[in-house]
Amino acid sequence: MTGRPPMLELRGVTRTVRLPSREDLHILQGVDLTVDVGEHVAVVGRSGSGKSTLLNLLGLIDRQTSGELLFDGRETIRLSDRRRARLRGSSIGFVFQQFNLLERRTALENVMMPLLYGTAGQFWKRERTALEMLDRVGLADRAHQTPGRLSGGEQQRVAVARALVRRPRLILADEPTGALDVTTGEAVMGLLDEIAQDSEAALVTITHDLQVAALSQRAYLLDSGTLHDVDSAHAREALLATSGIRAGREAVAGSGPAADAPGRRTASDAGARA
Amino acid sequence: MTGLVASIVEAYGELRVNKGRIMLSLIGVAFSVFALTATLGAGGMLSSALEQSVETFSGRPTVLTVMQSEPPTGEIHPEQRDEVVLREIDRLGIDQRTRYSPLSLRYQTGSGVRTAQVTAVDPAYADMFRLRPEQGRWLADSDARRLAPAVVVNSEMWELMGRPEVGRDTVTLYAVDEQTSGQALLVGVLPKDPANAGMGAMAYTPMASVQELPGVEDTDLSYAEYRVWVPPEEADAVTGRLNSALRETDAGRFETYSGGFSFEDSGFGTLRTAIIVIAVVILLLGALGLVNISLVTVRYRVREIGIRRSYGATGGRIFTGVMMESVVATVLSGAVGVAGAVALVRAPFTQNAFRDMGLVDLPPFPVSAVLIGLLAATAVGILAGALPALIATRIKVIDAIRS
Repeated sequence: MTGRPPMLELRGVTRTVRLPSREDLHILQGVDLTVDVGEHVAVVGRSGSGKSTLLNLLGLIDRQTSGELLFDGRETIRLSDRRRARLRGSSIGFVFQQFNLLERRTALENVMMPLLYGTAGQFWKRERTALEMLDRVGLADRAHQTPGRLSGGEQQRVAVARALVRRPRLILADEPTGALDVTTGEAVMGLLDEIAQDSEAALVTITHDLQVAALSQRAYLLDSGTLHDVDSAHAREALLATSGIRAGREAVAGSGPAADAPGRRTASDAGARA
Repeated sequence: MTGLVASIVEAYGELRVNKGRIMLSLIGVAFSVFALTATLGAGGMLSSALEQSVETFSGRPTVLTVMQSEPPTGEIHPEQRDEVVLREIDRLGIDQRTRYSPLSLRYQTGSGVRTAQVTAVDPAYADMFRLRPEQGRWLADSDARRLAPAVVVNSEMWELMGRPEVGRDTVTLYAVDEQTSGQALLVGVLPKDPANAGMGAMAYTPMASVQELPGVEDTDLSYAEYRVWVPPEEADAVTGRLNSALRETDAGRFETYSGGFSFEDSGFGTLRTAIIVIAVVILLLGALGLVNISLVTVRYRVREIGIRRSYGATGGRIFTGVMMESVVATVLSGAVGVAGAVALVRAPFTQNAFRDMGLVDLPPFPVSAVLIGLLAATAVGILAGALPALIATRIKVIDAIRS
């Protein structure tokens, strides 16, 4: 124990929304999660299980109904919208399923965009920094292409570059390979994982794909608003009961791009335990 | 500071990417600002033209007329009468004043001798009545020392006299009964003035040498009138003091009244108001069009705004960005509109039209019209940007990204 608080910590977090019928919908119920610097954590779950709500809470886009969400040991619920936006901009990078690149802006302009909201130094050096980041993801020669002229894999690499250009300490990836074919998805995940490791950023991947989850050091199953370690009995039963996930798990059994990396769980491991 | 620069960079980027759409939406604003500025500018110049035209006839707004209302009980020489009145005027520190004595003389034309209205005045008369010769010069104090009296004639008289050379030729003037004649030096010709059109031949000569003119006797100068030009805020006080001082004098009783034409009280003031109202309506219509387009645009940009917010853009920054886009765009289009308006109003054919309307002192394009045009463009930008900017800040990031 170093005494240093985890970078991100959720304690008994709930998220409830009021439906038009005046009934309460409990999307998240008592979620506990800890993410340390440089860790790679995956959260798997079916559609409607609350994955995106959890992602929005982790990204300080949404606020929990109850419980505590601490960033660097500081409670975030009482931070003003402005402080949350600044913290989000400086410490968190997003990678979305649909890339969400700005249309009609070049790859370079897309990667420069987060730097518009950064410090004065980041703003004035934005072009150079963005070009370096594009070079890092292997797209230096495509810097002046608009998204429409890039392949899906290239677009997601631009999105990765954009997420990392401000050197965030936490990268939140929402179904990062969801819109890509298997090979391209593996390449993008490999790149994301590699850059996250290089910059010692924590990576939280939200996915329904066990193959992607297998790349993480720790994996959780989000089921009906509650978070379970993928090794738990509940998770095992839930995974078995969900054909989609089982199929995905079985399909990657014994494989995966980083399956043999030290400290990494493989999908087959997860499946075996499930 | 960096935040502001970054907002402008962001706004410029948005304008550049969507230049086609924005150009279309701004045509209306540019046209509105053009219409507003041109209307105000041309309206201002038209007002000046009308004002100047009227002033050549009735004097500037605060030119007071001092007129004899009762003759003196005894005989008094015109020069003594002038001394009495001018002493009181000078005592008030008024240096813009003139004696005024209308006379009739005859002059030679190619088709015989005709009558001209000759007015004996002091040199200050020209400024007070905004007279500026188009040839030669106006009367000067030194003209009193000439052996032949100086005259400034209107263009109609000059034409009828056979266009004598100004500053060199003398002209022959006759008494009304044509029994006596004398030479006068033509020193200036006044331009054609619509306000005095049809008034026939007119001439001005210095009061100081009026008696050098043929046939002019003291009795011809019995009609006593004076004009004084005072600052507007002092007009009432001067009127009161002159009325009081000249109530009972050796030269008779004199009354002072405002003989100038009040431009603001006339229908021209209403015309100016109507012009402004029309311009504002045009501008509001342009603004409404822009608001409409801006609102639609923001709805199209929901996802983009959500993405920007996820990367750290604060609500204030989004508000500033959207607002700045609108303001930058309208100020640019406003500048185009203003430039177009200035070019139109300053165009030679427009200037000639103003001259034909009697504009003697061609004023520069009114700065107020330029400022109002630019301010209006900025205001439209703020107005058109505020609502979309407010809506943009209320966009839910989560919904926006998923939209």
